[in-house]
Amino acid sequence: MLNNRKSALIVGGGAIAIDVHLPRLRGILGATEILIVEPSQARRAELEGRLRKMGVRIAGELPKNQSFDYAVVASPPKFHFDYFRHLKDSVDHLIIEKPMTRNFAEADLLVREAAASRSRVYVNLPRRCLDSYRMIRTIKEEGVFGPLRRVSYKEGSMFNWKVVSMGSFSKDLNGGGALIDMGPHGLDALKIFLTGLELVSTTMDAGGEAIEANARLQLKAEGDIEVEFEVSRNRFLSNRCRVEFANAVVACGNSDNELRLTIGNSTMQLLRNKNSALLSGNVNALFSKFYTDYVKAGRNEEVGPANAADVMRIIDAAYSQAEIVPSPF
Amino acid sequence: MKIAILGASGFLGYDFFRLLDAHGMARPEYVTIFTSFPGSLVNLARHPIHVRYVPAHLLGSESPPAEVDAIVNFSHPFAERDGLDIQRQTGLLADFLCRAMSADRKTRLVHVSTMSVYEPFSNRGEVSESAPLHPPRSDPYARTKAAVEQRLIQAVPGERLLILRPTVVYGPFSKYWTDDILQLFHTQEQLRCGPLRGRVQPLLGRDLSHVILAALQDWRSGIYNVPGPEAVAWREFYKTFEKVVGHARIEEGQGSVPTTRALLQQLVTDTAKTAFQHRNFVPLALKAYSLFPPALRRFSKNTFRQVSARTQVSPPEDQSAGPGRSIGGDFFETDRLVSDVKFKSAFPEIQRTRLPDTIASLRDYYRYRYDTAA
Repeated sequence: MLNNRKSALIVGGGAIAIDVHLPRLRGILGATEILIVEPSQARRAELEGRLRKMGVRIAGELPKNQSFDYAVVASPPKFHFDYFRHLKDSVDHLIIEKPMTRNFAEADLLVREAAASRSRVYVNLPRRCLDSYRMIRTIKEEGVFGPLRRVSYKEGSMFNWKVVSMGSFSKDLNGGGALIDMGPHGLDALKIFLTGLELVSTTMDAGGEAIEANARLQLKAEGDIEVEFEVSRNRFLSNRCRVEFANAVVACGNSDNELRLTIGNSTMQLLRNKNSALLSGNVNALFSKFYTDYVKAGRNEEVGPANAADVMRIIDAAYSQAEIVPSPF
Repeated sequence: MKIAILGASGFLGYDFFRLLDAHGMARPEYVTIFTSFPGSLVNLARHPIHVRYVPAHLLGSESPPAEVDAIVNFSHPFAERDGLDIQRQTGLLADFLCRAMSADRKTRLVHVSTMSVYEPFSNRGEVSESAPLHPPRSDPYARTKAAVEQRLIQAVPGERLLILRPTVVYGPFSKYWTDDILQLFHTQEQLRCGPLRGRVQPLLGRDLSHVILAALQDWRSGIYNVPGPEAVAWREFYKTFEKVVGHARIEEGQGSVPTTRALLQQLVTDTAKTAFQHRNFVPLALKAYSLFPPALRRFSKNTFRQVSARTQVSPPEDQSAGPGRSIGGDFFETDRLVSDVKFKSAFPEIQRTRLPDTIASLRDYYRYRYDTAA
């Protein structure tokens, strides 16, 4: 690390690394010396062509005995824990893509090792930046509409990421399908206003080595709050979080700042930031806010490994307990 | 029976895989899936499968499937991928299939082509399999489909080759002829469209899967049109989806004489589309771009973005203005009918499903795909 020159390492040269992390490492964190480690020779060749003029170096292996100000682990989840171990004492700020690990055992170990390491560890869960979930928490804590009774979280659309590997559909590389892909975002968002989440039951449309496209979890929070959590990679679900209080219903978009209040037959919008990119669900704005609010500020209390590990606990239990109900289509 | 399937992650291939699965024929030791686009595996990956991921640009060096009883090819490039245009990808695909067939003299090939090879239809009645194929330059999908057929006919002994030319195929996960239409009806109360008087023979995807399975179990070679059981006007096809969704209506206009401005606009758009698709366009454009001064580079970049957004090449099956955001135009006023005489003679056991008989199952599919209850 040289004076005023920030260095960054990105492990994994996939779309999320190049399209999300690279520009923010440069633009928000001010990294000027960037190394991308990508094991695939073909992908390295492609990245070299694209990124040569940006002064980004590409390598096939992690460098030995080199420190970095920032590092991003954006490899298949199978390798997240190993890369964490490799980097934890040579990086100041370490961002790990979700899911933090493939299973709870690795997550639990990571939490303990991170506490004793040099790195401040962040898990890329940018919905923590939304105001909507925080407002739901405030409404709940203040008891404005009575006790919270029930939560329904649904997120689903047709998978359309331009992936360049089998990772998203490999149990070995990814740990699963829709649940481990989308579950970390949603479950972490629920943790903003719910505590003590415990799994009651799970159904999925595939199990074993097959990769589920649909998962539905029934959970309980704080002992008696019913929580329904559903994710899909081939169905169009509402993409909303619906929170039923005794006297009103509050609903928000899963990844935008829209928040609506319904009392009886009347509905009104609670958050009125119409010009906010966050309101419209601009994911780029959300990623940028994550970098600004957490990584640049050096704050990881809400986006650190402990929170992510609790989410993995639920996901891990869901996979091990799931009832497999094949889809009709 | 050991089968290799190319394009199993697409709508038709996935339906065929499910049919095999229902017959206990889809276990990983029996079926190998080839894919060049992992992003389309979301449905197929729900099954224990053996997948060989072959990026498009590596198909030329990939070993073809060995010791299989049959290869079923649903695959066809729809867009540029890995830096290769669709003509180049088509060539690699045809090479791959020909290599596979010459490597093993017992393997049979079922190649799923399309009625688009008969374009332009021009209201010429029911087209038979013996009709000469001259798809126009403006239709790269039809041209590349015809090109693959020709390569296979030249390279593969006739007794080992079955080419199927289905018509408009619809059913669960069919993007253009089911999913996009459901999306339109789901999101709009009223759909205004142009005249829908042209006739087609819609074919349920599952019926095509039955044809392929029947052929594999009791081999039949040759070239066959595979149309749906009856000719219906496009309006009847769309009204079926009206009934499936239940809360939207189609309002069919009677058409109007296009203005000179509209004609000119269409001419410029179609010309630009053709130019963009030519394999020489990008190299020439890059060469010209490198000679521009910086200010002109910025201008040309912005202009290109705007123009290419307006002349976005439609997906091949959508090229003649398929469902998309608007329904109308010449495509829906022209009859696209094929003869099924030869098909019925060779596949007498196949029962094809009429449109009205699909409403209940399509409604179940619609409710599966769209669960918007919060």
